Amino acid sequence: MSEADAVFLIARNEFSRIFGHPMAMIVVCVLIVMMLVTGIASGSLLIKPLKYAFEYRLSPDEMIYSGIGGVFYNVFLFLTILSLFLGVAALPEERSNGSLRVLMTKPLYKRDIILGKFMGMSTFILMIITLEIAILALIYILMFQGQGFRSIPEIFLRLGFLVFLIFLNSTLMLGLTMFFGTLTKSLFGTLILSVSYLYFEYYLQVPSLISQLQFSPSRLLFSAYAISDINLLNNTFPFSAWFYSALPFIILMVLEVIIIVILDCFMFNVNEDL
Amino acid sequence: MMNNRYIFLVLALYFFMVSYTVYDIYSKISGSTPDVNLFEAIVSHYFSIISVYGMLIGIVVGFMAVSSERRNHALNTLIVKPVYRDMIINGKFIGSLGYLFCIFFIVTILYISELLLFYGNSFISIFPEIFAKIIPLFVASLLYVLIFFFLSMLLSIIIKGQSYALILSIFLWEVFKGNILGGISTILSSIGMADYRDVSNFISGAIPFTISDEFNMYVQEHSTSIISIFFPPNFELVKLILYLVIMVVLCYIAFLRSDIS
Repeated sequence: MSEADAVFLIARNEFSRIFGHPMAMIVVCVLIVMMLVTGIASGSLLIKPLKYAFEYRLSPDEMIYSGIGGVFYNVFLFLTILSLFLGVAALPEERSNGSLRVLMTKPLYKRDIILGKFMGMSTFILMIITLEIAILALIYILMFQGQGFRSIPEIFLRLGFLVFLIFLNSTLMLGLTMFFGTLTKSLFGTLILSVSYLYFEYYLQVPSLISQLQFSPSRLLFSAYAISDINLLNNTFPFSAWFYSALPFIILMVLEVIIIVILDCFMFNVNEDL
Repeated sequence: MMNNRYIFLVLALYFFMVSYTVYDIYSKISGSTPDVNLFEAIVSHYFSIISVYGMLIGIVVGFMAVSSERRNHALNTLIVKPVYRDMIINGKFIGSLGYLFCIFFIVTILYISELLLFYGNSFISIFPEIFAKIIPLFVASLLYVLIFFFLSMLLSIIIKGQSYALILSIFLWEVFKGNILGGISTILSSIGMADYRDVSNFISGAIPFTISDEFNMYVQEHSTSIISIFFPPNFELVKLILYLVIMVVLCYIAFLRSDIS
């Protein structure tokens, strides 16, 4: 069995472990309901849409973009929390039930275990993000019966990149919490570190208070999403204009994810033993 | 928990928050003579410093109280001993309450010390008044955090998956913050099923987040006796206690009836 096959097997096992849990569907449903409620209420855009479209002279494209843009903050925050706690419990759970010890006696590199777990959980997160954005987009498209949109492929392109941005942010959070898990090797320590990070980065927004913290995940995400007026979900600017201005931030986010996964592997290699 | 080294991390982060807040207040109100603005700023920031991050710590501590014992199978050993199950819950509650009380107490001392350092004599002259306001706010913060402590404990008893119990605790916090119920009231009023003002008034009077916020405002604005502060006209503190009692009862029922394996 090649190394890639081993990683893939661990990833598949991790995915089925999370997805197969009875609570998974409840959490996904809660997430979708919360997002829909906050989304609908924040813009009131899904209620009597034609009335609003008429009053504010909004085109179907503007409706879909402003509606989904309105829930952007909630979606990314909820998914960040989801990633955080999936990452927190990933290693301690396996440590406590002894399956990590069994896994480490197998002819596998330690990095394969981390990579497999990371990939399995990332796939689950990607599935949820796609599902959430797709549901919202489909509601709008169905409401207008697919009529009046300037370009359906462009909508998919923009929303696809929105999914990608949220996914990068979530995986970064996942990688960070796994890093805390390998560093502290205790559930309490991992939880305290992760929750503190969540509070300071996303609730207190310390990076926005300290101007030097340009590379913080939340700042990169917001910078990539909207650079001055050029917003991913603002169709008055062509997609290419947003893409070229957001590209440096996207590259930085990808680099951060790669660095944190390497750090996870390194820390697991150094810290974890039988 | 007090022996755990992570308490230093929590305190260090609180220290950062307190220092930043005091510096922020000082950069806006740096006069040598105390005025109403300084008084209001000191009191209003105190509650937000303690309660928001404290609530997250409360969730973690509540989760760990049951989950860690379940993970290392200590709970199994504990329930075969000649102790009632409610004793286990009582013990965990008292221990965690002591932990949270200690953290909040240290943070309060830190806050007062830093204010003293920045403002000197002008702070000393308003200190008795501030102290009288800080006591009820301290109690309210502790009650508010304990609601989430028991909520998290309840979920970790009911739900076997650790990560899902934590996720739902945080989501319920979002619900208690009123975002979701506020959203529902907007939707109901938009489709003409309810009057927005009535629904939002009802929600703001029923959610721990807004209850504690209103209590905070009341304490800031009214300089009356301790008794009237503890029992304001809208009974905010009583509502918080009621929430806490409901959570405690639910925790008891769940723990007494749960199958420990």
